[in-house]
Amino acid sequence: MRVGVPKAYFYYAYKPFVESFCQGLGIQVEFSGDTDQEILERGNRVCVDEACLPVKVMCGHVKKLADSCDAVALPRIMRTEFGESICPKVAGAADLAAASEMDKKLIFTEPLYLDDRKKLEKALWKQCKKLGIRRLDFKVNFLNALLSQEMAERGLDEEGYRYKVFLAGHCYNIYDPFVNMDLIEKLHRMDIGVVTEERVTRQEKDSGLAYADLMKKPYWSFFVNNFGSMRALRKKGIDGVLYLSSFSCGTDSFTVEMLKKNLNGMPFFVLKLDEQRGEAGFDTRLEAFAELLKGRSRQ
Amino acid sequence: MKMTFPHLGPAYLAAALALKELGIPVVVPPANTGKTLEKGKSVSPEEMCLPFKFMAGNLIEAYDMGAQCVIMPATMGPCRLGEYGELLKQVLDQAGYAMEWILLDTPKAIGIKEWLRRLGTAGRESNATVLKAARVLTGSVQLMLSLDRLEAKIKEQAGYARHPGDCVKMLRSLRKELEASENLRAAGRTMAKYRRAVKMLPVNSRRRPVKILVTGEIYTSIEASANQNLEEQLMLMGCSVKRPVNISWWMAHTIRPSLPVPGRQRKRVYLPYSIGGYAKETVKEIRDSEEDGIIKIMPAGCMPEIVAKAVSNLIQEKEGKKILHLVFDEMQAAAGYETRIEAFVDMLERRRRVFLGN
Repeated sequence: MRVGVPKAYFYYAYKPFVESFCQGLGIQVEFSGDTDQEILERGNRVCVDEACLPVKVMCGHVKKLADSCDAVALPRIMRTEFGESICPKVAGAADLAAASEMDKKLIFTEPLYLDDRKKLEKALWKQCKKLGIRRLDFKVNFLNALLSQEMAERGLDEEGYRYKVFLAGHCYNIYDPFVNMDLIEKLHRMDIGVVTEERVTRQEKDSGLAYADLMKKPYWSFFVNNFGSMRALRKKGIDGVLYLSSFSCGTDSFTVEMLKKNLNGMPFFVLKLDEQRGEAGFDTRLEAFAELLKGRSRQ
Repeated sequence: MKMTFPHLGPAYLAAALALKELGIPVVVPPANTGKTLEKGKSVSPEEMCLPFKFMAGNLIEAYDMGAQCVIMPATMGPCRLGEYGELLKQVLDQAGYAMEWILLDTPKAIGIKEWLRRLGTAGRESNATVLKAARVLTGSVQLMLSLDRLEAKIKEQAGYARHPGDCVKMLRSLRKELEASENLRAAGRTMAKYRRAVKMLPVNSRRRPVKILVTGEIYTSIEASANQNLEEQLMLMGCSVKRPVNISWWMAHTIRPSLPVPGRQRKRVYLPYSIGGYAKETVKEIRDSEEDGIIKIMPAGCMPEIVAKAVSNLIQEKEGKKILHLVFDEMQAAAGYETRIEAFVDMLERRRRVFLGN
């Protein structure tokens, strides 16, 4: 039995868990490797037109694995560890991918509620049992994986650059260098370091949200992470906010707008990614942002 | 304090009557037009979905008519609809249309106590007793339910009517008369009148109309201005139209599950889990449909319906359903939609003649 794990989507947020969980289960695990043009094209072919770039990339990874493996693990994350939901397209990831005739091969499609450890364990065990994994192995691996997710230092907080910006957005855009066209590398060349939301603690995010004068408790994890972190980082002296978003992202159409209204005059910049990958335009916009930072520091 | 609310199809008829009977001053925003959308677009972020832009337009128009307080139901996502209130308040405040907000979240999300408190704030200017309020509330819910039933009946009849235009006219005049009615009792009388009128409609019982199911995202389904009067177009082509997604359906799917009433849940093959919005229900309607064709509609960028589209493509392949996807946005290009709808109906008619022999 060869199980494929797509290196896309929420792999980037739960990488320590996924990698540690896959080790020593007694099954062969194959990771799909870095995103490339071929994967993107495959995704474009099989995915529904209206979907956003990350969904198409995810479908491409799944399609690639479906050709070489017996099964593809594509978890259906309904709620994150703090009880927020992510986005309907994440909850429906398996359905989006299944619609391109790979439905028989998808496994781990039970809903996962990461805020409830018992439920999570039960849902994962249900699938592992079918794969013929021993209960003890599963239990040990599960606990190990939880621990490594908790211990791992995730995210970026770079020192030693002239400017420091908050790189907001979604994990699958920020950490996939193919998708974001080497954004972080390009920023470094412009003497800009980045800090990401993983380096802001939950308490800081919550207190950032608490004074934002919201009418209702937000239910999107991306909103809490980006909006809460921005408000927390605002006090810590960052030079600007760079929001990496994908075209027609539903949650961002809301989040970006709310961020804009809470900036207190900080430079704010939205970069949109799509499958056209127009790099020249992307670079020009980045340079404009760097100029803006320079101009402000001179004043 | 004058109250207002954004439009959602015929919901304003019952809501306005209920507020009037309770003695709460109410401003009903003018019906959705191109101008509403223009106004809404001027304050909305570019990538928000179509319903948001219409709603923003409604509230701006209501503000210009003197509304001071907005009452609006909300849910807990993960679809964008649940956050509409938050962003509407932000953009309207910024554009100089500051109003007070009462966000009626589901009781599950904010607790029944807070929910009742918010309902209380809404009714603070009314001097009606709790008993009367309850009576008015049930009365307006009943009006809504019977209106939905009656409209569904008329739309079904459109395929059999001797002149399909009669049904369209009837639907329009029904709404107009309800709008003009003084109170719930008068509205009830109007309903009875039209129920009789439907039975009197001249029909051609030998006709075998093409039956079409219209389903998809809830706002574009209910609000005819957001779907270019899709149903009227179909009715005028002599189709029998069924649209299960209406206000009663919304009440059954939103309010009932949040009350502690146990309900039967059947597990489904396609999209078995609720992923937000009403994608699961849309897929269920498509799967269970027995009509000749299905028109699935959504506003551009609707997150849950994109998943539903992917799944319905799978259903189309495996179960042989005929589905036309229509995506609506603020470019009101009517001719393009018309052409596609005509071609779809033609195809269904022809298919029926060739394969089914009638």
